[in-house]
Amino acid sequence: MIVKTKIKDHNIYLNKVALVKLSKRELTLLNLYAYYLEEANDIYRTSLSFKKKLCFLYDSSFQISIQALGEYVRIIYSFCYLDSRFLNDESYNNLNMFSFFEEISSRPLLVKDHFSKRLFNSCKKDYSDDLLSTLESPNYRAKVRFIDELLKNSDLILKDEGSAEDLKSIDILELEAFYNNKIKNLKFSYYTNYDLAPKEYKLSHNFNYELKKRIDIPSEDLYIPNDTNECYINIAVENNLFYGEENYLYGFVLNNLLGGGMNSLLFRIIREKYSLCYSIASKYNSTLGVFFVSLMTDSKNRVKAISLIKDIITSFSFTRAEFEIAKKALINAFISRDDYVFGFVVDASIKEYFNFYLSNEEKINLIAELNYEKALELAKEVKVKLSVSYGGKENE
Amino acid sequence: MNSNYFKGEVNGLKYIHVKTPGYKQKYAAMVCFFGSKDEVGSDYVFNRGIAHFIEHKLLVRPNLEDGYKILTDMGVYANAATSNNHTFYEVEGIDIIEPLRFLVDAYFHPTFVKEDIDKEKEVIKRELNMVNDRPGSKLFYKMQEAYFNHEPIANPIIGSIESIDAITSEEMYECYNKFYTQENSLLVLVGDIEEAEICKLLEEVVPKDKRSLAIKNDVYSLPKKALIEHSESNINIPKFFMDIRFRDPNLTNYQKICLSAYIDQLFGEYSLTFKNLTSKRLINKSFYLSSYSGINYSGLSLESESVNPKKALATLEGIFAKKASIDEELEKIFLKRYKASILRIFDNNAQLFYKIIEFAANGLDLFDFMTDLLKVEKIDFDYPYKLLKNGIYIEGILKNC
Repeated sequence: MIVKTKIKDHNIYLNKVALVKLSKRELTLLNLYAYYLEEANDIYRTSLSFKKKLCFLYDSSFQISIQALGEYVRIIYSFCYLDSRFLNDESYNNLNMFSFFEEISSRPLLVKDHFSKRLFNSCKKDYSDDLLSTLESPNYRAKVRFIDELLKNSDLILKDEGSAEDLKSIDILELEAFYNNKIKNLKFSYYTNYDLAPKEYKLSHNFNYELKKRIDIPSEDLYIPNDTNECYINIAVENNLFYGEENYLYGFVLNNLLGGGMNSLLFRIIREKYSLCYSIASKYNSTLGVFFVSLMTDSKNRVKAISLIKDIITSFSFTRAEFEIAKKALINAFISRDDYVFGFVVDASIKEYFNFYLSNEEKINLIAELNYEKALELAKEVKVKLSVSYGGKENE
Repeated sequence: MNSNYFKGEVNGLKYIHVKTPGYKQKYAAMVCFFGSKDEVGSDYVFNRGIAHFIEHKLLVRPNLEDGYKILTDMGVYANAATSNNHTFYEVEGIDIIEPLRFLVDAYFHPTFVKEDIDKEKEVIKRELNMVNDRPGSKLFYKMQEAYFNHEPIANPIIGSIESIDAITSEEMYECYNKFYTQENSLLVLVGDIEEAEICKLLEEVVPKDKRSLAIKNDVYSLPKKALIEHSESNINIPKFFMDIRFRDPNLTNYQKICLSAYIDQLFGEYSLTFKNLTSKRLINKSFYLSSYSGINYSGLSLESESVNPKKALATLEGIFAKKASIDEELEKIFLKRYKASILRIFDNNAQLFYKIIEFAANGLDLFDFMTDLLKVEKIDFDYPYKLLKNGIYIEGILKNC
């Protein structure tokens, strides 16, 4: 599929996207395979640059992005390079690039291959370093504990990056088996901002995947001691507004009103009125039908902050003018997506994989029509469920 | 591209405007060339953290309504940030003319009130605590102190609990009046906006009266070589930091390009040095290298996780002490890559916007730099070698307790 952008790009983007159901361990395997493929292609492109004097490869990038969407994991392979015409470079032809992309994004991993074995070891170390390094951030550790509690009775996955614990016991045989069973025959959809693809890749698929699972969010306030200066609080607020269902766009507007910016209720009350935190925000997760609220505060104010947030959410209300402002902000956010090619890819992949899809224009039109009274009614249904507080000196 | 690049001045306020037809999102920022390093001068001393404090409260209206909320209500994203050499206030959105009018007006007419400021002190202390939870922050400030021997540039941007508590509204006005002048400010705009519309707005809203700018204390004595070690809990992989300050502070665009090429020769993805260091795991994928420059200083920073940070630092010093051989093939590759990487910035309004601000804060013009870069055919490697060899090295190691 050619994703037409309205702007003039210097860059040519080739992307392919697939959705796959994975277990938590398989997600770690997928991440490890991504490290392997990126590294193998860096080496390959470097060697081609020199041997064949292919200047176009000098500033190209090949990346794999992995996103855990709950039931599914989305994989996006992206290859990006500068359009030759901007550097008057005659050493390559844009028309050959699609097959080159296919070649580098389909590289197998073979246990018998010496190159694969060597790379496997260094990639496993790199991946392990990255996981350990991320864990140094207290904010991240707090989020991990929160997600673990939130999903403790479910097999859904929300962390993209896999697990350091699983990684320790993975060997090259397991990775090869994973590649052969799960990756090798995946069906991809292709997206580009330039007409490079041969005809057979231009077909649109209709995978008709459905998002079915609901989770039972525990109702409790947990405190996890840790030696940090601030106390990191994450809260799950159930809204029952699910992707693809009738009222799901209300979720975005309600999120803007609750904690989406500097004019939101949480920011105005918790930070501006009570000076309890530097940062507070909410995010809407339409897969789970929740708002995630996160803030950092002094541990002595932890109980007060959580109690105030519960009060705000219990009496969640707003004026018609505030509702219209929240709608306008949301419409503007969707309009600005037109500026980014990658946003197009993500949107276009949703269209092919799920049996529900709204284009940017459709979303904008529907948001403009959202009704104030209905929003107030939905706001009344919103409930605080789980709060997980992590760390903070002078703790209880 | 040039036909969409405008530079001008209205009532003493300079502006840079890049018109990018077709893009929806527009960006504007008021930049004040006043940051934490300017808090102490030859004839004045302000409390540490005051530049950052002003950033938090500059947009408050006389009725004490928060300017950031007003801007958000107008449908734009508003934000601000303070560094050691500048502070900036930005708005981004689809319709930014009226928010920009508000921003410029608020920028030149602040309201600092005691009650409001006292309340904000608690918020800033929360921010300070949060920054101190980041393992690298404490080491960074220790390195800065060692580097600058307690000169103002070493100030933590947020300040300390004591200095934040000592800030008053009178002091904020005094500081504001010294530095928030038209002469010391710049408006940066990127997006599909008509030039005439901007000029009209600025004519209406930029005050015609001009205050004189305080003299900044920009001249620092040269620091001494130092190695700082710091331990923190929750460090899973040790890290090193290397900061090299150059004795020659005023690099030309060509010299900067040569330095970048030399560094690329050493650490680019094709280099043998880089491969050797990674294969011994003296550095890993987290390796990050950046160069910086101010009005009177310039330098290079390197950091990475490492199995042996001490050995990594010694190895790097050894590399910089020896002149790298010139590889003509690599030189050509570098020039293509570098030109491509600068061209790419123009595909993204946000990147372009922040790059212009970053360049301006370092006394540079992105477009002049690009013009010079596109002309370069040959690179001089002797100059960067001498620069690195004679630089002053401040090094830091961060490890677990």
